[in-house]
Amino acid sequence: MNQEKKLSHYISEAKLIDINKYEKKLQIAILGSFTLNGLAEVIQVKCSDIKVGCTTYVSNYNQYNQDILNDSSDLYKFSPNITFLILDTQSILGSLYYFPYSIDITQRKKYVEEKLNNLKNLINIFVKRSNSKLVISNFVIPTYSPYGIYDSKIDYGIKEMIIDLNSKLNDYIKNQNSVYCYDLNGFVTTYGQNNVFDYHKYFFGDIKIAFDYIPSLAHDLISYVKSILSINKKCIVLDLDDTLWGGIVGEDGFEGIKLGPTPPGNAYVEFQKRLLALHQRGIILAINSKNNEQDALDVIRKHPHMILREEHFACMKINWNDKLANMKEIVNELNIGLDSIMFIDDDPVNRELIHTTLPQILTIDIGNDPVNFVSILMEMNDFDSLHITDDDVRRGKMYLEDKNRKTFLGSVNNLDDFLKQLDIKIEIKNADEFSIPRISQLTLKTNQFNLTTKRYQEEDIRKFVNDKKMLVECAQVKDKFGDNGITCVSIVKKEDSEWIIDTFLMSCRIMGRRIEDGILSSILQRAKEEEIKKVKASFIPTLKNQPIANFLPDHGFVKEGDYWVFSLENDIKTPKHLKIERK
Amino acid sequence: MNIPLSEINDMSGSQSIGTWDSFNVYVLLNEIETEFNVRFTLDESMDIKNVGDFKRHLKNHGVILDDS
Repeated sequence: MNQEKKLSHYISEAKLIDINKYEKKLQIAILGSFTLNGLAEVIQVKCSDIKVGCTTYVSNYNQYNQDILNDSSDLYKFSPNITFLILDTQSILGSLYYFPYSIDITQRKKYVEEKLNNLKNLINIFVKRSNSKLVISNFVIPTYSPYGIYDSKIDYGIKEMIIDLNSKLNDYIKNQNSVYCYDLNGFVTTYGQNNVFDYHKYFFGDIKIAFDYIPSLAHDLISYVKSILSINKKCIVLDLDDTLWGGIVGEDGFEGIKLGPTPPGNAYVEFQKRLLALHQRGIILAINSKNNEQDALDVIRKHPHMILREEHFACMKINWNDKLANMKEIVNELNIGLDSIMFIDDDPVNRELIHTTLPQILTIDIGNDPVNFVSILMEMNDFDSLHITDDDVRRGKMYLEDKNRKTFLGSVNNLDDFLKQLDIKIEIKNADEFSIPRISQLTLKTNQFNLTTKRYQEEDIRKFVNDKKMLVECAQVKDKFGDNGITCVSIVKKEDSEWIIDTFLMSCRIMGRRIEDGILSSILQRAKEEEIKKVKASFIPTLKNQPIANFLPDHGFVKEGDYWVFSLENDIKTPKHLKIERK
Repeated sequence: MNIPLSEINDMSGSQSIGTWDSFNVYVLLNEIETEFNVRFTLDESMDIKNVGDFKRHLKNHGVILDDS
């Protein structure tokens, strides 16, 4: 299914974009071994759709080698944030693309080895010279061989050469921090070689990806943009009737709803399985449904073919309130940003209600035919992440623990008792290879409890870690209900007699437990041990960081010029309900 | 190509339209093919230099155009 708009639509739209109206900016370079005309325009429009002002650089036809090898090339002058290097099989194989068996197996192996080394060399040079992320495509596996069906019997035949090259290239890239492999072969498989590659276009203009598919390619590549800028979705809020199952449970009854091994119930089962897989990868699921709560809960708890059960939902609002009120409660309970929520509902009225009142939420028109639900979900590029951390994978479980925590809060008399009984343990560690991706992710995503809202990519954090004048710490927070994972980050610039807090943030997930008091006291304590006189910090207000606005004055910092300053002659208060360990 | 409809006639082409470059023409050709459900041959594609050429080749493929 190709639901994309025409290329000409994007080309005209691109001319109308005013990138100055967007706060987020991005420089994208496109390098290719063949004509990729139009790709830049589609990327610009798709960036503008997600409120990113994007400027592009497109290398001249097949000039990617020169662009990367020449250190004063226009590519480096452009200083991209993301660079896409899109290569095709024909150009890498040269004449072997047509005559693979003109040389023997040893030479074929040597050929692939050489090409692999060239690519590694290009990657290394690029990484050394540029701060840009590099996304390099793998090679499309040829489907034709002059040997026809016998090709599979040939040792290291033309298909095997490319499979081998892809696998070795991918292995190499796996260990490179800012380099990623884009599955171009998968793209061509998804849409079909005979559609994507069209001889008419190829002979006419050396076009190897037909114009009709350039928008789909751009859609895939935008996944990287969304990941780098952390504009991805963390939570899917779902309707129940005609979304997770067919029919209306209040009318059709427990036995009457469509959910099970026979059509159309099997389409809903399949949809639920795909949602469960996203849940297992760390996407939070929630329910917003107009229903008799008991009817719906019966299905969720007892229906033999239900895949998603109560434990998979971080929050369930099943009642007769309007969906907007429910949505607001979900947002409050889960404490996540509106812009990280996706709402899936079959009813256009409900979608319109949410879309007009809470436009930051992405509402999805899933249509009324369950046949399409799965493909709509799988074509989305909103859940991608350049790094899936352990914390991501555990997120669903952590929200469940939080549900228990809230129930417990309801059962104790006051907040102090609650905090004491939570048994909170904080482990503060210096950043290391394992925590760097998570630390970067937190700086990119945390909006509310964030003193300066400075956004850092992994490369930036790595630079700080290697800088003796910088102290990068993160904290893992556990309590009797579970492990919240790495949820706090502090970055401090150490000068001779004073320290400057560059970044101080905490995930909103653990707000309200005075954990921040513990982290701050640890920084101050450490400064004191190193005989520092003052710790300075600044608060940079944003639309979202009101929760931390009074943090500095509340904790004994005094305004001095541009900074808030804590003099280490003062006492450092350490909260009693926390057990803090510094490792 | 950002040309007002009123300014387009059969002679519109690389001579009169500054944005009529090989890429734009090719996108146009591709979308005309999709719109009218025809496939131009390579010769026809190479022959197209202006709007009139497009019309002529479309007629050869049996497309009836309202020329008024």
